[in-house]
Amino acid sequence: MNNRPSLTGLALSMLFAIFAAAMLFPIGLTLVSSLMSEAEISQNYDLIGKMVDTADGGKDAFVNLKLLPDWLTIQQYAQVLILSPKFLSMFWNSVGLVGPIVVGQIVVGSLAAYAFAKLRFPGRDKLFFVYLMTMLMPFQVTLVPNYLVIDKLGLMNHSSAIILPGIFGAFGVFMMRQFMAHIPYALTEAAKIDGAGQLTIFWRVVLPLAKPGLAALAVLLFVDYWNMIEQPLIFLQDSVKQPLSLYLAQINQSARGVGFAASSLYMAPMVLLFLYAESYFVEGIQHSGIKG
Amino acid sequence: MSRDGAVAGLFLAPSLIGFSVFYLIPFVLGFYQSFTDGAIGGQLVGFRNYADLLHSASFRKAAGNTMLFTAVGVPLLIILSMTLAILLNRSLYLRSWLRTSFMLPLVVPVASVVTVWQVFFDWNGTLNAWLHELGMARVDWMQSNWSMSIVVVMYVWKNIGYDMILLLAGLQSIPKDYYETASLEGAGRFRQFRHITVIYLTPTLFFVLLISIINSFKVFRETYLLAGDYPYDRLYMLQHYMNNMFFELDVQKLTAAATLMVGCIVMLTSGLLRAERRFRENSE
Amino acid sequence: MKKMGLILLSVALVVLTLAACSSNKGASESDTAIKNLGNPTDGDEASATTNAAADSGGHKTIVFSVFWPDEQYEQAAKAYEAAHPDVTIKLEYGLSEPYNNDSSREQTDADIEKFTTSTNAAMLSGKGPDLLDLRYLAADDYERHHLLENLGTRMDGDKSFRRTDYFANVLGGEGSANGPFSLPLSFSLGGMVGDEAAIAATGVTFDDRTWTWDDFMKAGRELVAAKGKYNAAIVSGEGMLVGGSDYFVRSVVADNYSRFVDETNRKASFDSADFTGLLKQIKGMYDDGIVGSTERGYFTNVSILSPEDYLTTLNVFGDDTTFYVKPHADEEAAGTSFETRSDIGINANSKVKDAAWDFLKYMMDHTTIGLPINKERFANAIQQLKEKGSITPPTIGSQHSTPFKVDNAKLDLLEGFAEAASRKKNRSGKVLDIISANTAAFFAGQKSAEDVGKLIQNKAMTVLNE
Repeated sequence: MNNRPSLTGLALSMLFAIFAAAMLFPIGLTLVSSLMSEAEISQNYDLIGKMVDTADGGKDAFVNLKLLPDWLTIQQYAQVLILSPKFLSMFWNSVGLVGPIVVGQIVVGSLAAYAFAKLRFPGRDKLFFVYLMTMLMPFQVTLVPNYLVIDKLGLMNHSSAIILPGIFGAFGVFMMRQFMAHIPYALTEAAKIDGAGQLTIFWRVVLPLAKPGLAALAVLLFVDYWNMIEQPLIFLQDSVKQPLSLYLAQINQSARGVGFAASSLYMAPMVLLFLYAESYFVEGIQHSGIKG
Repeated sequence: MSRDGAVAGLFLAPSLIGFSVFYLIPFVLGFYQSFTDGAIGGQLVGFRNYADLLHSASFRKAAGNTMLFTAVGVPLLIILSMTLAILLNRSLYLRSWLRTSFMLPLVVPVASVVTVWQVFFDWNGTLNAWLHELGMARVDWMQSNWSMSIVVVMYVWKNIGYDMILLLAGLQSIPKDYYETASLEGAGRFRQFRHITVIYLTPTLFFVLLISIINSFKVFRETYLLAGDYPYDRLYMLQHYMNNMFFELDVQKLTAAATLMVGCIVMLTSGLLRAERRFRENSE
Repeated sequence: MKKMGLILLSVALVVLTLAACSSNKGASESDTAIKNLGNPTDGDEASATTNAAADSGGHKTIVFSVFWPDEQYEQAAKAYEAAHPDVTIKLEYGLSEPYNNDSSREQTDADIEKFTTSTNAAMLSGKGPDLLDLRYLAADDYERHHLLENLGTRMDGDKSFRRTDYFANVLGGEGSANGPFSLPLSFSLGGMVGDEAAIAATGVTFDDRTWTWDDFMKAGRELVAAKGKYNAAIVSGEGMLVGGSDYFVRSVVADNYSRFVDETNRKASFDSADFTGLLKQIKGMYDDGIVGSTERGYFTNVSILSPEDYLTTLNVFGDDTTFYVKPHADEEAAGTSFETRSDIGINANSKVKDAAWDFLKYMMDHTTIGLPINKERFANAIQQLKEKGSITPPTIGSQHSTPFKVDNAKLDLLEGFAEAASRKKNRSGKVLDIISANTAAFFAGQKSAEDVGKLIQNKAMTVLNE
């Protein structure tokens, strides 16, 4: 293919740009709305979920989709950050839950993935299939027995009730196996001939090559667990320990203005992490998808 | 071989122990409970819970909707992301910017954009405002058969970038000289697509399919936040059913439904893997 | 295939070993619990399981779970503990932080969801508190899955318990082998306050002890037609709150519930002309001004929470006001509508059921707030109010309240209403929630009755067929 985009390329680019704008629209709208005043928000969106009597002009009552604020204000952000101390503490709760899960699952997952990808042992594929299965199961499937197990272990209402199951999630194993399978056998075999043990090969050869995969996994795990709602709802009774996801799911329903600001702050770490690690991330998930 | 086995055991141990405690054992317990008459120390009742479950019209509806959603949403997502990947697999202006913007929805938390969906799909929402401008009657998007299409849109919005990236990688791994040889032999664009692109992309497609199915189950969060625990019946999925059964403390039906769902997932996945293996053997 | 078997076997082994480990752990936990029994202050670990083997004697800890922090329970627990030194009562609250007007509604909703979810999960796994205040909990489901102790059997089996000490209909479950599974400490009465003088002036007559909704609608039309003091017969909403159509529809439909929902065959008929007809009839009452949504009318829906509240409510709406019984559905027996308060159940898996039952009885006999279920307490409350002679209503906002005299004649009627309490108000129910949520579109004129009926039918069938 030529290096310079052709005329059709230009047309396509424009078409794509429109499509991309549509994709970004929900995010953009959230950001823009977070800079509007509470009054402006309720003026625009108060009608959501309401039924206006036709006698009072209900036939023409619609929300007002507004892309530009009348004037910019950081009132909502101040409300979220300064006036409700809960937000920040919940934010750190989220970090405290998600951080250990991401790190833990990467460590445990890549160890297991190495065994699945680079070692031969009886029943390997069948066991991997079992992992694959649990990855596909929705949370509701093991809800009640999970409760029993966590209660037996005495973890109820303790952050490890969320963290431990998170660390042992199957997705890390799956993704890293896909990625490591892509690393040529020649490399590991060469190391073996040089007399390296499996741990050395894992640590010095495979893991450095798997960096993009690790980055991609980190981002994906972060997104998934940053979003979790069901697990903390059931396993963390103490509201002081609750993560941000629960707070946000509630706040969106009424105080919309604050909701927009909280949403923006809530997605910020994800978006920044993604933009920062994008090239790794892209490379990582690409390699996980191609068969080596 | 045997030495490998021992080492493999060591590498696997941490994961296997935790995995058994938090996933396997709960599942086995749940499986057992689905054959008992109560939550605690119940008696075995054989397949009665399953009979009750299949008797429930709402369960059948939920199962049907989940299948329909997967059967429509997943192929649609793959076709769209494939189209995007093929079009993006050439030099374009702003290519990396475009790629970034297609991927961004993936990392946006569900709860953050729920209000935006409401702005569009509410009875008084923007979509109805546009219909009104055109002189048409309002549609209650979330309370009609449209509701599933809307969830499909949300699903595609969120996952298209991820699938596109995977497929793009698959496309880029196809050697360019295959196409050059083919066009020298006079094969048209479409023939090239069918005989080169599709064939070489198939392994990637299997992977994309699997990931897309996993992600199709995750749409429940959006649906739940938008439409609550009793949405319009077209939108009532297995997860709604299981969630409601949990709140009604009906463990028997909950575990039986869970077991059936897992059974279906096992069949679907093993079928997929078998197909993939056969494909690989054929192409070698 | 051989390999598969091997894998399954090894997985099963791992599972078994781990299961054995965890059950060992469970056993050692209860060992320590027994050791802790000598130490009454060690209540932190208290739960139904750690009280193993405590029921037969020795020190007992009763875990009592309730959503809202409650002074009444605190006091009862303290008094009971003083009288029974071998019992500790541990109150657990669902609300995460003290409620104040500033704290967001959302937080409370989140707490409620959390409270129900975690209590459900605990009850399902055979744990959970020993005593439960069932507010916000799925009492019917608990009952269906045998998670609550049958208090009917308890009442019959306990010689010291006399049903006649209590308001029998409110207590419920007389002569039935099934239940009740919870007992209320107090109750409230539902009805209407009417401007007796204004009604008398119009010359419209009716018998509120027996009237049905149809009778009520007829009387309402006549009242409006008489063009008397008020323009509307009744105000939608409850008490001083003048609300939308929601409340009225809900109570009318709740009273006609069996017409549209066939519980035994799990069928609903909200898409029938019968239901759309009812919706149109109700809307007609709004359009004709029989149900007012902006100003006061001859009648106002009220809930009577206590003897003092009864007189205060009557006083607020004027001097010549009377309490009227709420209309009922055709099939239903006439009588006062009531709602139970502080419904308490005993966990069927509790290890201290006898002690919990004893404490529950104690609370039933010592509750003095609200309309107490215990007749003696009820009579005492009325007597005390008479001795007090006057009531100073609570100040609401800037509205200054003036004390008024207790009207003994009116007060004497209250016990009669309480004795006549016969219709338990269906206050919750998924189908009713669906109806309230979806009829607004029809009353606002946005959707046709047929569309609304179809939508309700669609969702109600999902609920009924689960």
